[in-house]
Amino acid sequence: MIRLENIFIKLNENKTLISNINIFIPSGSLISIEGKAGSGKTKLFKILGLKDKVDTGNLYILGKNVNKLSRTELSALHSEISLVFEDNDLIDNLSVEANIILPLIMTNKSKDEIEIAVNELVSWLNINQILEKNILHLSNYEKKMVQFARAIITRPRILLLDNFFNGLDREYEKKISYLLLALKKIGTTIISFRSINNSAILSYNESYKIENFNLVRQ
Amino acid sequence: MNYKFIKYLGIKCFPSNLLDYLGHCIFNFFFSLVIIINIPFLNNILFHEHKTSYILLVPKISNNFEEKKDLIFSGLSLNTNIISVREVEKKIILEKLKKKIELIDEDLVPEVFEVTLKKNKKLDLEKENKKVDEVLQGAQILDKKIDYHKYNSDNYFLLGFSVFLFLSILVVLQIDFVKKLKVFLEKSRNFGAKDRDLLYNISLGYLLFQFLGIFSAYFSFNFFESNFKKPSIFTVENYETIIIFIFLQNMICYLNLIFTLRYTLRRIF
Repeated sequence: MIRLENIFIKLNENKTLISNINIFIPSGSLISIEGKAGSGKTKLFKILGLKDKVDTGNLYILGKNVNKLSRTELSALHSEISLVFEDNDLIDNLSVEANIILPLIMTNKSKDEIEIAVNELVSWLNINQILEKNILHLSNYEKKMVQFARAIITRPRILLLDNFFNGLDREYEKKISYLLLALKKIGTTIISFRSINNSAILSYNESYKIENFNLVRQ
Repeated sequence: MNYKFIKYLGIKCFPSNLLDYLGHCIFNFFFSLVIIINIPFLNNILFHEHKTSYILLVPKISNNFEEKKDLIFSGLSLNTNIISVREVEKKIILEKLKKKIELIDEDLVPEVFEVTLKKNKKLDLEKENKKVDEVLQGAQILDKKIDYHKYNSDNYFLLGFSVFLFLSILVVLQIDFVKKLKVFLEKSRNFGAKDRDLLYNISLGYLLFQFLGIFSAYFSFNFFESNFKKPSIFTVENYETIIIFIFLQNMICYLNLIFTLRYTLRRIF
């Protein structure tokens, strides 16, 4: 469950990108947020992903007001949220496998749990050929897949995608969509931030659009 | 332990490049060598600086020389201010004498002992010499004349300079190390890692290479010393100083790393 209360997304002190956001996103829903480049989409994505602080208003994630959380509580909440960035967000000096399993290692999962999770995911996403490769030697598509694998390996309660389907092959888009629907079924809230001209296979529970500095329901 | 476990441990504790760890290892190795060379001086600062030393000369001119020498020692043992009477090796005396005198009949060289007193205590030389001379004619206690001021100021300067250099390089190396890890720290935090776990894991990996650098310096110096000359640094009287400085070096490196890591983590939301 995510609730945004009187949130303003600002570029700087003088310029507001999105004003007075008041929305409620229930658990297990598939949401789309559309907006042109520079409309504040990525800034909102980062705020929901706890990468940026909220300037004004309140953000409630899984029933907790993020402004009032301690470092430890915040890190516990972080482990429930996964983000897939539009650009490469992988650690270059680690291998593909190390990048994928990093969230599990960091949350002290056992060796067996990690192994099972990797085997399941890798065959589904068809990335077993590149597991030992260096990040620098991957194509953009492969990087995207590795980021996606890293995001869902922990089975997060909230999954945020920033322009993820951009430039993705129709066949892979379908495959990923099935995976997203499976995650949705187990209660994951999925929010996909998209450009306006993006085509989508998925049918969303709610679609929002950033228009005239406001987030409006479509 | 199997391969997978080691691999996971590697990701957790050694997220940086091997070169960064090796750099830190080599840096600690060389600084340890600087400390090792200064051990006698450091030992002096820590344990002997305020202790007074005298030289006891015992000439080998009498037939019952050994008995009389024992009598002198028995007399000295009554003085509670005396901590130790240590024999100075003949080789060292000859080396010093050869610098001033050309031909030496070794039998004429007296036995030399270093008499160490408690802090700020002094011997009544006139009285003690009278007693010693009564036991063995020609035996004498002399005030140890060392230019402490010159010795200390030179060594203090060099030591101070090397410590300053060590701290400066350490800070630069560790800031660079943590800077390279910033992405890793950021990601780990985003995946729900606790600060405490991050600090523990990263410092564990770092400390391993630090120990490797420090201990390999001590072991290689000890090996060199025991194979090529008589030990002068790894002696029983220096052990305390060696342990203190190994501990200090490790603590300084560890605390500075923790401080730098904490500072960086505090800046990540």
